[in-house]
Amino acid sequence: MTLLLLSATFAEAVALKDVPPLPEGTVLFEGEQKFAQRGRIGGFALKPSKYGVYADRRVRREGSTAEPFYIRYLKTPDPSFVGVYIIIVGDLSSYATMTFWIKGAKGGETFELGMNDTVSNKREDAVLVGSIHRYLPKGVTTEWQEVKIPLEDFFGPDLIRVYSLVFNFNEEGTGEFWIEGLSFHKEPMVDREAELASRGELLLDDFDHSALNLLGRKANAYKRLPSVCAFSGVTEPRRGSQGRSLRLDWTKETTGWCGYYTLLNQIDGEYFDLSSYKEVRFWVRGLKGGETFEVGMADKSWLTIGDSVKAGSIEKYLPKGVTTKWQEVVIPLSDFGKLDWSQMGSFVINFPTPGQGTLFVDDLRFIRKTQQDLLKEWEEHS
Amino acid sequence: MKRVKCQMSLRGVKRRSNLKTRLLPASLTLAVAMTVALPFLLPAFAEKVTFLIDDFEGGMSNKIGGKANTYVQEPSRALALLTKDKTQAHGGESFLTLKYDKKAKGGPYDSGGWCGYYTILGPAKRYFDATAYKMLTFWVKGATGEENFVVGMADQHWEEVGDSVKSEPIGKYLSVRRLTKEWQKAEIPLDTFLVDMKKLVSIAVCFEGSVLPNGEGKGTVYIDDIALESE
Repeated sequence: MTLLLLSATFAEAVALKDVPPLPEGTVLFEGEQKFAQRGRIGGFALKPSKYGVYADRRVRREGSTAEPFYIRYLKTPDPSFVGVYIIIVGDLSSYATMTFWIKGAKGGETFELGMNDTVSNKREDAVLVGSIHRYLPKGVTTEWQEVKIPLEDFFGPDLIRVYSLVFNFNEEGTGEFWIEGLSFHKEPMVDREAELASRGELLLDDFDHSALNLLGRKANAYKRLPSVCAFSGVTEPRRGSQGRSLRLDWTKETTGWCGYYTLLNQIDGEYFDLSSYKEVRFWVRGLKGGETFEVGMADKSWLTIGDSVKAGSIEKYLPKGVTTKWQEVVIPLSDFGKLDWSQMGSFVINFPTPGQGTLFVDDLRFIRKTQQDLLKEWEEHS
Repeated sequence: MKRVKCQMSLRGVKRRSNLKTRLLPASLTLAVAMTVALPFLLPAFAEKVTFLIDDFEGGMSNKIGGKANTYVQEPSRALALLTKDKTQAHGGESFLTLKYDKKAKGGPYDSGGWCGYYTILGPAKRYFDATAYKMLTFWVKGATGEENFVVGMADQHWEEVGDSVKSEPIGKYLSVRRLTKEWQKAEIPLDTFLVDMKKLVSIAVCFEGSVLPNGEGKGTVYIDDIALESE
């Protein structure tokens, strides 16, 4: 490269204490004002879940003089909840990336990340962006690891008026970990497109850690009574030795509809560009075998009208149908017809046939076209 | 860090130049001093600031965290590939290969649709301030040399209407006034685009029917090292 220079402003990193303050006139309740000291840590819990947080001098990251925060949690089954937060009270709008270091006591500690602006904080409703596994695919370990989070992932909070960073312990269990070095960078430090290109696939969801998928998008069951569908994450059965699979329990009556969707788009935000992908793959098994369903996908237009284009019944892709063993389903995206693949909205599992059943799904992936695929496609259309 | 140094140098030179203009008539001594100092200042003055947008060495997203891809409206088509070939790249190992097939008929208004390539200048919801720069530059060549296109630039307004302000045909900004099969540096003054340089959103390579014979054409162009330059 002969190019002379890159932007120095992009190389800046600032510690939490140095980020710009909230804009003048930002409304804070009296209680918020009293508590809003930047860098302060706190938590929330509904018993019997509980937490502990404090600055811990006993543990240091090599080469760092910063004092880590020690965080400990016990999460019991819902509706009990627990989480901790770090007060930001600042304007993060000029930064592209947030980073911090994390180390677990045993490894495997999990949580969802969220953010409150000065409005959502008042209604105690942080915007969650998904599991820490989105940013550390191998999870928290007993070694210090740097977590790099594009601030654009926090879609929803007003980044000009950020109140707090939230760690929500959504999975049952206990854990202890340390974090330190919370910093903000003008430089985009995560190149998702390059990561996807090198992996050759988008793992949309492994259903292991969060109700949000691995793009940080919402997933849920949909239903119109009297038909119903419920979803949950279960450890049995699952593919692999860890994590969970998606369990769908449905009852389809002669009227109404039911199924499950997972979004590719940000609600009121960007749609996902799947034009570089050629097929969707996932694993499926039934509780009894013989369960039937169809797979749909929706682009921006179909999402707007609340429907999807179906590729066909699952028997088209699993000639022996669903059984009680895991089978991989492979569906060419061309089977979904003429969708706007540059603006995709959702992946759907729909139960069209009256009856009831239980289905397990795991490892939902989209496979990228290779350069050879793209060139072949180009020539075929010439 | 280097850019800061350069900007400081530029600012420093500018301050000194102003000083010189103001004081020269009143102080010959200072004028002499400035003349003596000038050779030392010139290297700093000559050093231009270049901001690299994409060298195509990573994925399809650019160096500043923005997405990049083709845009198409059928029946026209476009295909963007990252080609890794050290012997063919302008710098580094990879460059952008853009294939286009612009039709003259069919599609909306029977105008043949449209096709091209865009690169977003940064993460979503953020605008790029290009006021420090005067030139959009990149390296370009064609598979045959018969290809043609215009360059588009969009600010907040043009992004909202889903379009961009277009340059003249690319040949105007090349030293030999047309695409060839050899790499050439395109240098497009930013004032070509009547957009708000404080709020830039994207740059596009647009295979417009208006610059293609009979409004249609197929071809392949290669692009590398898209940058903004201060002079």
